[in-house]
Amino acid sequence: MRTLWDFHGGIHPQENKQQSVQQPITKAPLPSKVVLPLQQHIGAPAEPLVNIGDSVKTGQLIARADGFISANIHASISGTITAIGEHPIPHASGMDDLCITIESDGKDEWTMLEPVSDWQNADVDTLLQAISKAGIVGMGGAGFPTAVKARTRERHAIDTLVINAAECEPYITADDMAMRTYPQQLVLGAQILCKLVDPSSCLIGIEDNKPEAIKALQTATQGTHIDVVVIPTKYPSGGEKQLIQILTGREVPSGGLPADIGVVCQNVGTAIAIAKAVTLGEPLISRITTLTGNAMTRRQNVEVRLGTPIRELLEYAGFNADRASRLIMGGPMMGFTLTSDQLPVVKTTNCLLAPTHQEFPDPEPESPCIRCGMCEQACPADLLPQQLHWFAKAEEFEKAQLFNLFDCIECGACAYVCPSSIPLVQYYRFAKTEIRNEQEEAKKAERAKIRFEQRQARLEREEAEKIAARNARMAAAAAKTSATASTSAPAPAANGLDEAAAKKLKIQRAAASVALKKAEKALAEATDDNRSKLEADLKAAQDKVTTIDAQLSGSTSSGSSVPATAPAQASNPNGLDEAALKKLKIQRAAASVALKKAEKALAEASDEDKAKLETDLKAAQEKVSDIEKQLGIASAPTASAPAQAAPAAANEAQAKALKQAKIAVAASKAAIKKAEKALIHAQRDNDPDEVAAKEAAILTAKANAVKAEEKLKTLEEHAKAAPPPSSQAQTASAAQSDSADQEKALKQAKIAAAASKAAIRKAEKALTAAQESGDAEQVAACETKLTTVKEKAQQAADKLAALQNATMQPKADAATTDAVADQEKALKQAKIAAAASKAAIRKAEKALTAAQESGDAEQVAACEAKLTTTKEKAQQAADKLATLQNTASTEPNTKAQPSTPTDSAADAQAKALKQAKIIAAATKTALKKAEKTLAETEASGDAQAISDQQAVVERCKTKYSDAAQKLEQLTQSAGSEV
Amino acid sequence: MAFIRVSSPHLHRPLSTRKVMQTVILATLPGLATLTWLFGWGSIINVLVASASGLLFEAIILKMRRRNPLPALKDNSALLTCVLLGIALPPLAPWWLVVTGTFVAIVIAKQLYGGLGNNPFNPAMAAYALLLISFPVEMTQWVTPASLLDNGISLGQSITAVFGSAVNVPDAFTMATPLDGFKHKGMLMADEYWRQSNFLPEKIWQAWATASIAFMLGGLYLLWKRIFTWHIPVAMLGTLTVLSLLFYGADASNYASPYVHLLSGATLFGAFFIATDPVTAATSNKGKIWFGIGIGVLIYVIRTWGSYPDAVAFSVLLMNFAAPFIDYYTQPRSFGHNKARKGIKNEK
Repeated sequence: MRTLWDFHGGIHPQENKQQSVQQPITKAPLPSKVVLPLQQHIGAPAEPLVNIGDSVKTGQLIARADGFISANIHASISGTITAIGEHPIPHASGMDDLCITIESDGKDEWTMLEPVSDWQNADVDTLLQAISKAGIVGMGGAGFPTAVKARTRERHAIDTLVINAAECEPYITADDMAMRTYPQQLVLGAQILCKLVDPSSCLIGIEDNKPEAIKALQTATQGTHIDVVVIPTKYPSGGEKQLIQILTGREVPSGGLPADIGVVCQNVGTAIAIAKAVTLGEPLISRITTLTGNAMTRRQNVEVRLGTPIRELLEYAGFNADRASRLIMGGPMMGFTLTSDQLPVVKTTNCLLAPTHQEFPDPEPESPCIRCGMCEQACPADLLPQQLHWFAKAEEFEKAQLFNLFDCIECGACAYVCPSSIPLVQYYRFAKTEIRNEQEEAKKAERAKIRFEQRQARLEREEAEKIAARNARMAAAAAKTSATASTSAPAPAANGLDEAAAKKLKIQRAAASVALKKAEKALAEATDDNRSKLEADLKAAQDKVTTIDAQLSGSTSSGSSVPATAPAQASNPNGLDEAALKKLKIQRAAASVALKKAEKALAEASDEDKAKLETDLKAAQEKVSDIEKQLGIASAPTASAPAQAAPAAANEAQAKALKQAKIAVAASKAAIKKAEKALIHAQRDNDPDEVAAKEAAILTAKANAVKAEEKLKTLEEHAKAAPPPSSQAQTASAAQSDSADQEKALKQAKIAAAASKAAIRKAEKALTAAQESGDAEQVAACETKLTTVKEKAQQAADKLAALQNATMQPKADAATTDAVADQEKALKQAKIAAAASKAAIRKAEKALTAAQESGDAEQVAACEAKLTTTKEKAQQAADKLATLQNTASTEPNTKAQPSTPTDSAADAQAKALKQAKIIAAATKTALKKAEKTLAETEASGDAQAISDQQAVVERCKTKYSDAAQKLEQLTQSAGSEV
Repeated sequence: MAFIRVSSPHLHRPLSTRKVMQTVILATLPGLATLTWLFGWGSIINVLVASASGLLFEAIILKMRRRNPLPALKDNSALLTCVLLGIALPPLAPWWLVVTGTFVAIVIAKQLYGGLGNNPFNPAMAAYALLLISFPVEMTQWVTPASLLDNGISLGQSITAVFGSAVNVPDAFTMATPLDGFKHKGMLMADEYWRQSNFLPEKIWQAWATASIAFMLGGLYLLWKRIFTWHIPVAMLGTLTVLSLLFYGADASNYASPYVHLLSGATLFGAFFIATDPVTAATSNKGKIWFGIGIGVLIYVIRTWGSYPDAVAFSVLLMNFAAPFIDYYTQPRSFGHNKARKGIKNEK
C-alpha cells in the first residue's frame, strides 16, 4: 500500500453520483448545428481558417492555434459555415465571444485522419505535433493546452506523472464512466504521456467511491508501470494541488506550477483524447458529458459533439424546465449557472446539471458572520476564509492579499459549510478582481508618471537650450559692440545700387521666411496624408530663403568691398567682416529656431514620422553647425583686427556654452543612472510592462546623453578651432579627445549591446513564464517585446560593429582628423591671405590714384606695376582659397563620418550645392561689379586701364560660368538622387 | 425555470446559524437540568426571565436600529445569550438583576456594537461582569443545595424569592460556594479547611462537581457535533490543570487542588459554553490554543491571588480583548507557503 498524505480541510457533500451511472455512455444525437467558440481554452483564441459559406467535413481544422498557448479548433460535424461572429459562450462571465457556426448537412462526413502509425517508436516531436494538431486541452475544467503541458520536460525535471481520476465533485461521473468504458485508452494515453514527460512513476489517483472504475483500471494497467492509487473520498481531492499532495506529499508552491516540484497532472478525459489523437488521428471534436439532476429524466453520460447547443442536449435528456431550479455547467461546487440554453457544449464541459428546487433550493439570504470558523476547518488551502471575507467586505484588499487571498482555489468548501450562507467565493472573486484592477491602475499611473517625467525633462532641456542660445547671442552682441567700439568708424561701404538690391533681397527674404513659417505651421498641423506634400513645400521655401540669403550675402559683401567709390579706409575690412558676421549670426539664430522647432516636432511626433523628422532635425543641426563654423571663420578676422575684446568675449560665450553643454551631459548621465536604477526596481518587481517602460526611459535618456555629448563635442571643437593661433598641440589634443570620444562611444555601444542581450534573455524568460502561466495576453505581449528587444539588440550590434570598424584604424582616423584640421587651418590662412591681398590691391589702387593726381609719371608707372603684382598675388590667393574650399567641402564630410556614409554623402552634397550657389552668386556679383568698373573706366578713356579692366571682366565671366556650370551639375545630381 | 445567475457553490450544508445556536442551547439542557435538580428552581426561573426580557430587548433595539427583528430573533443567538446568562447568574437572583443583565448583554454588549457577529465581548460575560461589580452581594449569594435543606425550596418559594419585594434571598437558602469558601477561609490552612466540614459540607462539593460534569457532557456533545473545535476547551482546561497541579504540588497547604479548580465554579461551563463563543474568540486553530491558554492562566491567577472567588467572566473578557491581536499572529501556514505569516505587516 502506498503512503498517502492528507490535505487540510475538505468537505464531504452528498455525492449524488449514482443517478448518472446507471446507463452506459451513449452517443448524443448529431446536432443540427454547432457553435464553436474560438477560445475554449486558456490562452489566445484560435484564428479562423474558414469563411462563411465554406463547406467543412467532420474533423476538419477550422481555426488554427494562434500563438504558443492556444489550441486548434476542428469542425465537429460536416456542413456549411453559416456564421463567424459574436455568440454567447458558456463562461462564468456570461459574455459573448467569437464563434464559428456550422449548419449540419446531416451526413457527418469525416475528413481524412492521420494517425501516428507506430507511436512507440515515434519521436517526441511527432507525438507532440499530433497532440497539438488535435487541439487537445485539459478537459478537467481549466482547459490548458495539453501539448504545452506535455512539453514541460523541456524546462523542468519531472519525476511523477499524475492522471487525475479523482472526480471529486458531486454529481459528475464523466470520468468515472469513461474509465469504466475505455480503460485501455486511458492507459494508452497515460503511456503516451509517459513517453513525452518521461517520469519515473505514473500514478492514477482515483477516489474510493468509484469501485468499478478502479477494477477496470487495475485490469488495464496490469503489466504496465502505471499505479492505480485509490484515495479516500473528500472534496476537493480532485483539485490539482490537492491531488498532488495526497499522492506525493509535495505542495505546489504558492504561485507556482506542479512542474516546479517535478509533477505533471493530466485529466482522464485528456489522456483518452491523447490516445485517440495519436492512434486514430482523431481531433478533439467530442467529449463525454454528464447529464444529471432531477429535472432531467434521462440522467446519464453522453458522448457529445463539441459545439452542440445545450437546448438539443436538454431535449435529449428529457429536461423539465418547470422543475429545474437552475441550469449549471460543471458540478455543484465549482460550476456556473447558464443564462441561456443556446450556449454550446465546449471542450471543458464535463457536466450539465439541472437540479430541482428540492435538490438545490434558492440560496438562503446571507446572515452575519458569526466567526464560527467552520470555513477555516474546511479550507483546503489552509486560509482563513472568514478573515478574507471581512477584508473583502471592508475592501481592505491589502490585508486580504497578506492573508493569501490569491492562494484561494475557489473550491467553495468554505461557502458550503458556512452556517450564515455567506457567498464567500463571490466575495473572494470580487476582491481578486478589485485587486487586479487596482494593480492595472497602478501600472497605468506609473506609465503616466514616466511620460510626465520625460515631458518635464524635455521641457527643461528645451529651456536650457533656449537660455544657452540667448546667452550665446548676447555674448556675440557684446563682442560685436566691442569690436565696433574699437574701430574708428563704421563702414559706409555700400553704394546706392547695391543697397537697393540688398533691400529688395531682404524684402524677398522676409516674404520667403513668412512662407517658410507658414509651411512649417501647416506641416505641424498636417495629417499624415498631405504631410509629404507639405514637406516638399517647406523644402522649397527653405531653398528659396537660402538662395535669397546667398544673394543677400553676395550683394552685401560686394557692396562693402567696392573699392572705386568707397573711400579706402583702414576700418574697411573690419566693416566687411562685421556685416558678414551679423548676417551669419542672424542666419544662425534662424537656423537655431528651425532646429528647435524640428526638435519639438520630433518630440511630439508619432513613431511613423519620427524618422523623417529626425532627418530634418539632423539637417537643421548641420545647418546650425555650418553657420556656426562660418561665424567662427568670420569672427576670426575680426578677432585678428585690432580689437582684443572681441575674441575674449567670444571665447567667454563659447566657454559658457561649453559649460552648459557639460552640465547637460552630466544631467543626462544622471538621468540614465536614475532610469537604470528604476529599471532594476521594476525588474525586481517582475513587472514586464514597467520594465519595458523603464527600458524605454533609459533609451530616451541615453539618446539625450548622446545628443548632449555631441553638442559638447561640437562646442569643444569650436573652442579649439576658434582662437586663431590654434597650435599643433591643440589639434593633437583634439584628435586625442576625438579618439577618446570614440572609445567612449565604443564602450557605450558595447554596454548597449550587452544590455540588449540581457534584455533578450529576460524577455525570453518572461515569455517562458507567461507561456507556463497560460496567460495568452501576456504571452503575446512578451513575444512582441522580445521582437522589439531583438531589433534593438541588432541595432546596438550594428552600431557596435560600425564603431569597432571605425576604431580599427584609429591612426588613420586621427590622421584624417589632423588633415581636416590642417585643411581648415590652411583654408583660414588662405582666406586671410586673400583678404590681405585684397587690402593690398586697394592700397595699391589708392597709391596709384594719389600718384595719378600728383602727376608723377614714374610713380604712376611704379604704382601700376605694383598693383598688377598685387592683383596677381590676390588672384593666386583667391584661387588657392577656392581650391581649398572645394576640397574642404567635399573631403572632410566623407571621411569624418565613416559610420554613416550615405547620410554624410547627402549632407556633403547639400553643402557643396549650397557652396556652389554661394560661389555662383558671388562670382556673378563680382562680374557685375567688374563690368560696372569697366564702364566707368571706359568713361575715363584710359586705354590701358580699359584693357586691364576688360581682362578682369573676362576672368570674372569665366569664373562665373564655371561656377554656374558646377552649380548646375550639382543641382542635377542632387535632383536625380532625390 | 428562470435562468438565474448564482455564484458557486450551489450546494450548501444544511446547517444554519439558527441550527448552530439551537444545538448549543440544547447542549446546555443537561447542565440546566442538573442545576435545577441540585439547587432548585432558581436557575430555570433565571433562564426564563432572561430569555423573555432578552428577546424583548433584542426586538426593541433592532426596531430602533431600523432592522427587521424577525430574522435576528429567529437565529436564536439572543436566546442563547440569555440562556447562558441565566445559567451563570445565581439561582433565586432577584428578577431585576436578571433583567438588568439581559439589557446589558443584548442592548449594550451586542447590538450597540453592531449586532450578531460584531460584538467584541461575549455579551453574557459582559453582563455578568457588570452585575458582579455593581451588585456584589446579590451576585455572590448561591443557594444551598436542596439536599442540604430539609424540604428544599418549593417553586412558590422560589418565585416569591425572585419576584418578591425582599431585597435579598432569605439567608436560610444561601451558602457560600466552594471557591468562595476557600477564598475566605481566613488563616486556616487548606487541609484544615477541608476538614472543617461545617464550612463546606461534602454535599456542596458533590452538587458543584455534578453540575460541572453535566455541562461538560453537553460540551462534548457539541464537540462531537463539530459546532466548535477542541482547541479552546482543551487549552484552557489543560492550562488550569497544569498551573494548579504545579502550585498544589509545591504547596498543598496553601493552594487548591486541580480537582477544586476544575470541578467547582464555572470552569467547565465556561470552557465549553463561554470561551468557545466563536464571535469573540480567536479564529485560527493556533490562535484558539493561545486564547484558551490565556483564559486558563487568567482564571488561575485571579482565583488564587485576585479578590474574586471565580474568574471565568473576567478571564474571557480580557482574552476577548486580545483575540484580534492573537488572530494576526497565529495565521496558519497556507498551502504552498514555506511559513506562516505573522502580523499584518508586509514582509517585503
